[in-house]
Amino acid sequence: MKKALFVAMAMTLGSSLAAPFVYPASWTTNKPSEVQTGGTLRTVNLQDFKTLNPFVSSESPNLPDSLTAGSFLTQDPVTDEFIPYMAEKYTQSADKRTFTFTIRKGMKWSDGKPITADDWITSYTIHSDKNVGSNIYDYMSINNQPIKVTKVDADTVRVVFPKADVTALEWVSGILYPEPTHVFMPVYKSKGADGIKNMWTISTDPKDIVTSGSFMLDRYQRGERAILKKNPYFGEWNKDSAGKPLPYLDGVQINIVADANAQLTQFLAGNIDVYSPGDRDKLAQVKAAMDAKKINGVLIPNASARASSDFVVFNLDDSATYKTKLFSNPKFRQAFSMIVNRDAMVDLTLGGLGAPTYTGVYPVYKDWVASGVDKYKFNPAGAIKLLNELGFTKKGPDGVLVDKNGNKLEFTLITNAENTRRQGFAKIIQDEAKKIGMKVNTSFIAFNQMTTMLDAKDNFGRRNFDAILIGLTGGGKVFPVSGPSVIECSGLGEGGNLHMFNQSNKCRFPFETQTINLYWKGRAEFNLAARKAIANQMQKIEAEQQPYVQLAAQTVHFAWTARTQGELPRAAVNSLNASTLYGPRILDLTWIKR
Amino acid sequence: MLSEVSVLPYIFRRILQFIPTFLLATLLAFFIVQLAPGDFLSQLKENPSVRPETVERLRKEFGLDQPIIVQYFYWLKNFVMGNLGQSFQYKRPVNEVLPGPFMNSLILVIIGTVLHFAVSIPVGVYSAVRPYSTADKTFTFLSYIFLGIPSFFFALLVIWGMLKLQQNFGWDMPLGNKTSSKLPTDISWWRSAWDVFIHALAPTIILVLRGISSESRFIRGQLLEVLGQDYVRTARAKGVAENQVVYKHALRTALIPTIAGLGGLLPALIGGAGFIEVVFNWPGLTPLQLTALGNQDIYILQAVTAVATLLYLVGNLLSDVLLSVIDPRIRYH
Amino acid sequence: MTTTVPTPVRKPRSQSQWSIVWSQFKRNPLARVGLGLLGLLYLMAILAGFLAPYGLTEYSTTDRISWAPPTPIHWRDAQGHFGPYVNGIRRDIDMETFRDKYVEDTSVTCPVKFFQTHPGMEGRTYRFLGFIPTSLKLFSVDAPCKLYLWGSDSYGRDQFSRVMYGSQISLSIGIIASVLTVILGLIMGGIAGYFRGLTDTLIMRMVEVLSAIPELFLLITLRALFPLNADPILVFYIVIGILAVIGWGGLARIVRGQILSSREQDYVQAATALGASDTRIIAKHLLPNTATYIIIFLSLAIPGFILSESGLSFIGIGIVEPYASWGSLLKVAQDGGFESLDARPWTLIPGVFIVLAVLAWQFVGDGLRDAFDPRRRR
Repeated sequence: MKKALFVAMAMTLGSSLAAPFVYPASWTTNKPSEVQTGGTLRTVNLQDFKTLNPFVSSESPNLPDSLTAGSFLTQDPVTDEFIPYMAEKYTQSADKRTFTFTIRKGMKWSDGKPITADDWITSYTIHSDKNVGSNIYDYMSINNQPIKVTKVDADTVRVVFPKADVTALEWVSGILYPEPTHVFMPVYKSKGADGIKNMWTISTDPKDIVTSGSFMLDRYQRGERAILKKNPYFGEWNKDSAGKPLPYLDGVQINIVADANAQLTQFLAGNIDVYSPGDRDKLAQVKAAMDAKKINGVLIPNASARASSDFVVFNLDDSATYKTKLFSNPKFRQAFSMIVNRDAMVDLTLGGLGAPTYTGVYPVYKDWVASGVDKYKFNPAGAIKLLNELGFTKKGPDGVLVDKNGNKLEFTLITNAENTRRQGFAKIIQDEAKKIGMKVNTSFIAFNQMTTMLDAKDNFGRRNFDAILIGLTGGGKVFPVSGPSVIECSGLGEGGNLHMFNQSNKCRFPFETQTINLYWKGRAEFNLAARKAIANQMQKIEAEQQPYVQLAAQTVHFAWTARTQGELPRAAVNSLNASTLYGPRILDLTWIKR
Repeated sequence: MLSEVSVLPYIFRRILQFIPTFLLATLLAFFIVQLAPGDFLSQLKENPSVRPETVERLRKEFGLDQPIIVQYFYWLKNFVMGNLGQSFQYKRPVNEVLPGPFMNSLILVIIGTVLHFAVSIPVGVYSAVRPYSTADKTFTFLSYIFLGIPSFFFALLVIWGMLKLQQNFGWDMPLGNKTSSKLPTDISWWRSAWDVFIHALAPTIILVLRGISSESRFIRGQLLEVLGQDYVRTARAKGVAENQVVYKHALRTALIPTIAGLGGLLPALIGGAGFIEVVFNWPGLTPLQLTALGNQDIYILQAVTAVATLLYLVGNLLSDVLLSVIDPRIRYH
Repeated sequence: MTTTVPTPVRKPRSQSQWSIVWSQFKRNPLARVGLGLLGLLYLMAILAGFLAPYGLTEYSTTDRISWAPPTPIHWRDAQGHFGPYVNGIRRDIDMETFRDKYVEDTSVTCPVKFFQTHPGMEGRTYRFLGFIPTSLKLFSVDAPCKLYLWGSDSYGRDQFSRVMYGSQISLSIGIIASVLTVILGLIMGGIAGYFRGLTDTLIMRMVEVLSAIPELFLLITLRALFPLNADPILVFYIVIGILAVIGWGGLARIVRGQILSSREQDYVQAATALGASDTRIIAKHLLPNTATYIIIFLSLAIPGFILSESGLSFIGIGIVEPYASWGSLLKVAQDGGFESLDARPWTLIPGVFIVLAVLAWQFVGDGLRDAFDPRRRR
């Protein structure tokens, strides 16, 4: 949930009455004097938007996020600091659990009604209703203890966290957005959760959609495009550093193009303004078209690493069978890591545009990735040595290693059929493993099927897979090591968590408990250096135990047409600050050159 | 010939016969989609912070905890009452989600069907009247080529060619999508209809090229055969003008199998539009079906199957009725 | 499928009529071209192991090569000796254009060798004609050189070799699937036509159901039902099976019609009266009537299946690694999009083979149809 970070933001100017939020000049490469107002930004999305309702939306990217201003605080994309945005100022209690926000005066909804403390309470109330089924329902509590949001007076909201938590600031800036009380509350009171769920569908008259953000919906052509127009009230409380009302643009056009190659076609044909080439082939096409002056624009190749991971996870549910016993032995996983030829993956699958990874911290968090974690990098001789220690000393007639009981060193590696990158990784693993006598069968299945295999079975029985190649995405900038759902090993429900290697609902290995303890210690550690030290410790354990064998990370590339202006300064252009829809820029500060 | 008295009961009987087919088809579809492991909620796994209770609650909410057969009859009951069920992805009734993509696919199918006959009949007739002429040989050659190229790959070549034309000559090409993103939103209906037509043209042509290739060959063969038959020779001998021989007598007979094939054309085009719709980013049924398949959005899949099955019925009925118009020897039975 | 199928010809044919058909067929120039082409293609498939200089999945993860263009073959070396040889190649990723750059290393030369064996080389051993294990190759070059006649794929696997091996799958998939379809169609149509009544109704309903459910949906969902750790070659048979299961309906309907009309004929009535068993009547008297129709159906269904296979590969449910078919090889080009056309046109070569195979079968099928049809004889 980092979307809000780019939508709209704030600065700690001493608060006078009805002071607008002034966008720092450092958030764009352009001076306010250069800016031309008006025009439409044309962008592209990979799938049809499914709803306009912020309470039922579960896709990413989605329209409600594009239409919302943000919340109390915002994170500066350049300095990563949290600054007040829809709050004029805030205080934090000594135990760091209670935040009190004074709401900025003069903020208005797109229908001209004022934005008040009630709008946060409405949002909190409805998102916390189980029956609504909000996507952020699970964010309303931490470790099963609820976060409380209360209204103090018309201008003041109080948020109380169950524990002191470093990610609290991320929560108040990126999770809970105000929603218009005058639209939702009457329906919620009369018809309850069902009433809310039926509101603001994709075919609702755009006039009835009330937003806080810089744009409002003009019309939605299903399967084709969403057309947004400027919210006239937004400029009253959002100004650029020269005091000009924002946004600069008159409108935004989000074209729905469901196929990656078709998206490239649209950019090459000059039909869209911002585009992010997904692989080297598309990057080369954009580069060639720009070099040949077929399109006039800017290309930032290799802007940063991607904020996602790809790894292999083994089934460590128990040690009942020969295979799960083998997988449960860290030596086996270390040996496996040593046959993962990450350099070949980067070179052959990613076309040279990527880097090997050895920990679960996405490489885009450069400051957080621990050093010295590549102990088990590609080293077939080392792998053979470890496998010998495990009893695999001789090869059968088919060239596959066997132990003294005649067990073959053979397993099936599954990944999803939609993802050619992961299939490429699996192939290289398979071929390298074969060379040392490990037989890896690969199987490519639908993503849904694959996650079902990862889910816990009834009564936490053993799951039926050997190894799966999958990835994770998401996470904030404050403590980007992992999440509770990934590391908690007991007290699990059946499904719904991401403790992928062990779904027996028991902490089978000491390192699992160690990791959890370190994680919660880190969440309560407000000193950045100390928090990083904890993150390092967690990564050291991960690198030694290899519960997830990390593979390689692709880099991201950004392109836009020459008419598109107002991007973030180059130092802040990375995968964390870029939005899927608009690229490395703050939409409100984007303008079109004519 | 036709009279309402004979047509209506016939149609009625056909519809009755069709009911078991319809039930079987939808039941089969329902079963095999449910047999695959996982369901719509599996993808929530991707989100690290969704708790198990949430998944369980949603599973109940969508009725996914019921036995499949119960779910099927529940669906059937709703279907009969005009309710196609709820789309999991859109969280909206399928009745709302389906019409748009369906109409879009229909645009391709209608233009395609018109094109199919508008091209294949003249080409077939011309080739038959002047067999082994240069034009005939050219048509033959082209149709063999078009029969051989996989259509999805041909689509890529066409888009690439169109892009090069646009980049090198500055011609504004309808490169994928259903409408142009450059037009203002407030244009007259005929202007936007023309826009849609222009965008539909390239995918439609690729869609029907294979059909045209085989159909025109087929019509040529049929016509050549009919032209060699006794009654045509007699007509010629009697001094009936050659044009009249070809168009009034021979063509009519030669077209009978073509019209019999019309019934299969509607559902085949809906299915066949698939790859082309994806490559050309046409918001039709196939992209909808593909995402529904990926997400196991059962009721969308069910609705598409139901619609396709209905189309199959309509197509078959249509060709039977047409056949009896063109060939009086064929009677309803 | 959109192949045209003729109305069945009624009379059973005698031996002499087969020779008439053959002489008619030979007179058709397109049919001759088609047959010749098919001969070449199938010969290529049979000799794939011998023609392909490399193994199906041979590549190096240390000396990494990706999208190598066709290797230039030189004929006269610096000393003036005449004979084919190649230079070593060096790969760089050009970080300006984001394309692979290959330069010839003229200091390394390797002569192209003919009829060499490669004992002990992983993946180069094959069974000649299906039973003699050998590693004899028509041509090859020694390491460190590479001979990519038609360039390489992203892993540096030789496309020429993969097209050769792929031909085995692509060319057999059509035949096996069509034969399966015909068998299914014959059995189901035969049963429906002969027994009539409830059986007939059931089978014909099944045909309707199969043609009414969208094909794409059936293919994807059925494919998802098969075991995950299935051997890739098993997946190949599954794909064939699915194609046949979906395709038999049309044929069954025709066969049923044929049988319904011919079972009323005198000789069948006579056989029944003489106490011949049902099986015997179906096999001896009813099915042969449809023989000509089936031959033509086969020759026109095969190209259809070859195209279907490429369509399956396009949506990712066709042949899987490490095996290759022309369809899955063409998918590599399709995945690359415009970049395939602009920067590595050699990846389109598998498409040429698909077109050639479909054309050739089409020529042969049309030729057979004309040859069987007395009214079209020349």
